[in-house]
Amino acid sequence: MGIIRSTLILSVLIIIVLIISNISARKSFFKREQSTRINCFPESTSQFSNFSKQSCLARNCLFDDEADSNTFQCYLSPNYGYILQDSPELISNGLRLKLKRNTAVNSLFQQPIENVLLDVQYYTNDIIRFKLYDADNKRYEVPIPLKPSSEKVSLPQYQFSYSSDSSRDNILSFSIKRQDDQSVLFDTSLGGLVLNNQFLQIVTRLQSPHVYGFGENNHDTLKHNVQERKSWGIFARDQGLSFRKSYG
Amino acid sequence: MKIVFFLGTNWDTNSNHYGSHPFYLVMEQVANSNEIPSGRMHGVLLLNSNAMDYSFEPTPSLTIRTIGGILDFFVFLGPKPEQVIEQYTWLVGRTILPPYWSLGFQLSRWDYSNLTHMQHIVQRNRDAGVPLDVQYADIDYMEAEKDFTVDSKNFRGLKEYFSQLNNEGVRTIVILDPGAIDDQTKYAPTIEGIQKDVFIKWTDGKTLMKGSCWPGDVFFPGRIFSIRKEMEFLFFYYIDFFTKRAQDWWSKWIKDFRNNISFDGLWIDMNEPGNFSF
Repeated sequence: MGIIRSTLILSVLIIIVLIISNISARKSFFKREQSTRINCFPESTSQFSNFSKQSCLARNCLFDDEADSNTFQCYLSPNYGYILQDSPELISNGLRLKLKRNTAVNSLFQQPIENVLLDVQYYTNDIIRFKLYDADNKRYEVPIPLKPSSEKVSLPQYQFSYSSDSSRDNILSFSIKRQDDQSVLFDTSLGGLVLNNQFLQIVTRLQSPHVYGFGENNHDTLKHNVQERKSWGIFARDQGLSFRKSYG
Repeated sequence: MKIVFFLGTNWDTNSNHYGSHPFYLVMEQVANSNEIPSGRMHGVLLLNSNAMDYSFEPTPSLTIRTIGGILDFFVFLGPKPEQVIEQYTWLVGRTILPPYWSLGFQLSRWDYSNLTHMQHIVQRNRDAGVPLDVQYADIDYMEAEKDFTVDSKNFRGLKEYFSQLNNEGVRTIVILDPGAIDDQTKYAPTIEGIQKDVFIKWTDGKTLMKGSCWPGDVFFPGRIFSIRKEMEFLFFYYIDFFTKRAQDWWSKWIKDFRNNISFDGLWIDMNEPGNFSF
């Protein structure tokens, strides 16, 4: 009797432990999933936004009824993106990847770009260029003169790689690493690549939170705060400062 | 008058400003180190001139969105911070070295009613012992705020006054608003500009893109934007500076203008480009 009782207690305990660990595993999965969501309604806090569950779903995004303020309630399907077609083609000092939009997920906006080329160019030993553009239609490119690339790149500091995620409809992601210490500088594995006629978005992991630059905007600090969910505009604008005293 | 003593002005917005610089830098961290900077840096340029925005996530990650063009990126591997900037400016062009005198004391304001007024303010500063290295002329000096003109009534003698300032060791700067008014009968820069095809057109490749700026007017009816009541409002064409023909046209008119008035520098204003219509 004693043995049976203690076995019963032990089994119950094991079951409880299993349930709890299962819950916490699921919790940490959700936490991870929540923290890497790609915002599908960046304008939701704007006074001009018509954010609602309905408008989120109408954009073919996912809606989380239980989302708290630490995560995005309206977010992009993890399978949103582009799929590699054929094997890459070698071009001078680089390679060309032919991509097709994953049509299993409907586009956020109208006029999605269905066929895309990703050209990777080893520009110099210290500079790598990559370019995502419409394979079928010419689009505007900034006509400023740039220093031409090296004819031969013999000792690149970088390494370009790509992969297809079989758990996410085989969507493609790519990364740029430092050759010597393998630090990942650019990495699109979070997803979020959206290419439409009037909406182009790319998401990259950052090697560290120590980010500087972009402009011109008002900043309180030179270093950006990656904890802060603010969006910053870049579009030259004649912005009066109401004749207040300034720095200079 | 604008106050020129230093003050750490705290703007509480993150609004966009005059320039467009889709370029960022990351100070890398030592692997598995809890964000300890490694001293190595890389930079990333998105070569795209459309309106865009960017935001961060604590992951840490960066999201960039733009409304046109293509996603054309350059990654600069440094690894020293100064090497990143060196590689970036090697690609897009080095920053100009400003002339030594431009680091001096400068007197600039809008709304000098006439030359006497300008002379009075210059004298007042000198009397007060304020050093003066550079004197500016804002749009007031122009005839109805048209580029390459001098108001023959209120600013008669500006040429002689600027030569005098030059002789006294003061440099001079005049303003130009890079656009041309919609006067196709009398205003020579516009007439020639149309002949030489220097203005920006709409996507039909024919219609000139009209905005309004100094001495501008509104583009859409119903939103009259009155800057100065006595001003005659006119439409304005934008110059396509990416073309060589526009660059040639613009430099030719500047050279010609320099025969009428001496200046050591140009203040290019409203070049975002500004448009009062919006």
